[in-house]
Amino acid sequence: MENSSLPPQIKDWIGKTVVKDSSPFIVQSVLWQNFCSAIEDGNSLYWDAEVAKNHTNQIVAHPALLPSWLHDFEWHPNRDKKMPMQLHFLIKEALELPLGIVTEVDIEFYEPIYDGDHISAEQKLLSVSEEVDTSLGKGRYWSIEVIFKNQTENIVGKQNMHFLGYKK
Amino acid sequence: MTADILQPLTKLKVITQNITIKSIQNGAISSRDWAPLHSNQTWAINKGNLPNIIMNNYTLNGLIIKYVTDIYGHASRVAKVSFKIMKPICPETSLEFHGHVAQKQKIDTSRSLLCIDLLMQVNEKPTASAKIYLAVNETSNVEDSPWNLNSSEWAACFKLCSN
Repeated sequence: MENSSLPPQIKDWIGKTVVKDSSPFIVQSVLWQNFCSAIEDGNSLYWDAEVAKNHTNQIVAHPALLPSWLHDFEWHPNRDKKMPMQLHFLIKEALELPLGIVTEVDIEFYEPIYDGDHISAEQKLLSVSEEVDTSLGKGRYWSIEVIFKNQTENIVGKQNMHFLGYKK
Repeated sequence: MTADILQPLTKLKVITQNITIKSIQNGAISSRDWAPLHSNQTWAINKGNLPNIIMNNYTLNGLIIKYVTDIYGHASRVAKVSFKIMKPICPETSLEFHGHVAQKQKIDTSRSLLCIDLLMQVNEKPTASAKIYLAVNETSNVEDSPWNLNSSEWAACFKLCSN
């Protein structure tokens, strides 16, 4: 399938914000500290309010978690399950490429994220490559831009993610 | 923080991270990334066409940021991280982080923006690479922490990131 034969839906999405999403819960320090524990990151700004007050006023979230504030629990009694980076999964489905991995990430951090913040995101499809042969299988590369905002509509970060979608 | 780690071409210390099944699963689960390629070995090998479960990008980004903030201290402020995954990062490997200072640009009289180039290797083979821009305070005054830059001053730093 050449680029000219991309499904009309995909062609229509390129350059547009396709998915707007909002965090299912407010940011909580214990959630980012659980991640810091997993990677053994003892940076005081994530843990120690006394140290943090001279820099960020209060403890801040680990920046690497920025996109994951949009991720829900795996199971919730009242909410339907929703895939994170929903646009990526919509593209996989439209291109009939059931498998996908992240190949490159560019992420910028603007305002720090605090306990109690509420994060929203806008996902825009930037590009889709022609078909490629890779060691994992035939597929395509695509890029998605995500703008993250807090509850006051200030941009807290921006991410460009590059994916490979493929099939065996 | 010593002055030598602020100078371009300076090689930073090499650190080694042991990657295990538990560390990959723990990183994915604590970032609420439920994709089975990060937690289910049977799925990763048989359905994902992968050698094993693989580290998710949040965990790798977390380790990259930890590498530089461990060296430059908690007051350093990461502006931008760009990373490329060349090979899947799998369990039972040792991931080595090799960084060096690629560039130093002045933000103002007390603060600079460093560009760090980072190569991550497994068995001496490149597995991932990253470029990190982070702001550091070159004085002993805590008031000059890069976290105390206002929004427009911080936004101006991103223009330096592309230089």
